[in-house]
Amino acid sequence: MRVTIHYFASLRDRKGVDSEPLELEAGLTLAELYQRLFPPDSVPAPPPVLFVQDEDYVTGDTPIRDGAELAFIPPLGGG
Amino acid sequence: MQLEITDAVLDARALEQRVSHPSCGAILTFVGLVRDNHAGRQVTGLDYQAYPTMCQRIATRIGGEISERWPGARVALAHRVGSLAIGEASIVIATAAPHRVEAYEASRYCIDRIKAILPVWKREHYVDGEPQWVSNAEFTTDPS
Repeated sequence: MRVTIHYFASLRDRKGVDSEPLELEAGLTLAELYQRLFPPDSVPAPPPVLFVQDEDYVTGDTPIRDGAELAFIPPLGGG
Repeated sequence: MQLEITDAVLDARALEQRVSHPSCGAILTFVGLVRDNHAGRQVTGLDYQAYPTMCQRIATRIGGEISERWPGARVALAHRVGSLAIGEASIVIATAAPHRVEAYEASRYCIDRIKAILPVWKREHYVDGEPQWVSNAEFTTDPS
């Protein structure tokens, strides 16, 4: 399945792109994808995140939908 | 709730005009400013980044929460993105309500929710050291 992933803040700095298309196997969850893209043992350690599918907050164990717009939300600083 | 994400200077008076209504006897305007210090470090400026389309959805959600709690309240919000200098306004929240108590309460609720769930990020630049993305105290990994 094909998804688009959006990067923000420190995750965007790490990836060097605002967003990118990804080809993924069916059944993968958002938390699994986050660990794959930002391994927990990488340095500096990846930030804690909220998970977003199609612009809604979802839990990390949510299966990724084909065609979804995904985002990981590192600690927020708005206001 | 009306939301504007913009790289232009914020206009508090224009937001007040948008929420003003004959049924409302009070308008409370909150303006958040770029401060020259944070956690003991001297700050020279800020960058804000946003996920604009999701911000619209979250603003609608927060607006719904406010309408449930304070019927008749009307809120408009503008948030800057891009690079800001010390003293510039990063956010304006104009809250109109039938009476002042609801205006104060709804405005406070709105800024607290924004800090917890509106997808906006802030990078601080310092006199000494590398710029850093900084977190609101209200952020948790439970988005409820």
